[in-house]
Amino acid sequence: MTSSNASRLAWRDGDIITVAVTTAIGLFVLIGAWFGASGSGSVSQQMGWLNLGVAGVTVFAAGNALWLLRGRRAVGERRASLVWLDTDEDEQAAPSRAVATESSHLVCIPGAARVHRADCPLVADKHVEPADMAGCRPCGVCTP
Amino acid sequence: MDLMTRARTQWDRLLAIMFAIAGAVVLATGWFGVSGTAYPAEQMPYLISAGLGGLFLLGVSAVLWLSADLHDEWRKLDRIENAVLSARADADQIIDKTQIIDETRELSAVGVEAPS
Repeated sequence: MTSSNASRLAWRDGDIITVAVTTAIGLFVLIGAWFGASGSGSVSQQMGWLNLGVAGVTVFAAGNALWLLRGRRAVGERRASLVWLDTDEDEQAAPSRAVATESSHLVCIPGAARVHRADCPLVADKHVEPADMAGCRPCGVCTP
Repeated sequence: MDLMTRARTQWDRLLAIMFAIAGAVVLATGWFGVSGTAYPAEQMPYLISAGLGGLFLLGVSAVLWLSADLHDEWRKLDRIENAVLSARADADQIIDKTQIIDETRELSAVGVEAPS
């Protein structure tokens, strides 16, 4: 996603319609439940209106929770696409994972199968022995 | 930033604060209404209008505030993306210029005059 096709808002038109409709339904049901309960004389009848009011608030809460989740997801996806945009450039500049090691002196850890340059960070502060490439696999970090 | 500019740019947060205050006032009103009568049939309308209504207003307030946070983050990502793309365009331009200079030098070295 680039700035040319990124929208001005984190939400799509469908999300705006969903949150507006659920909020309106919730409000409408709540007002209806209030009027209904005010006009009823018995508690048993009012309990039905109370349930309706709770349902209205639930519809409102569900719509608004969806709105927040969609917004959070859109921001997360955009953040991930930006990280990709940034690392893409770095990878073009340095296609391999090799670190800046220069020593031509090769070593290996006794019993290990890989050969490293002497200044490879994977063998730093470890007991090493001189080695050659014959029959050994090269380290993927220092790429001897 | 003066108060009017701040209110214009942060209208969603201002609205969220107003809804939160309204929600608190409605809840308090409902509580006074319920405590003023001993009959459950008279208390129930207060419970629905002020209790659920207050929750509704507080919910709207929370959603507005969180949406404002998300919108801020979205705009910040917009600025970062523009900065990355413009830095990449600058880098491409420098690479193009360097290549032209190298080619010109190579042509000069073999005695060919570079086209202008």
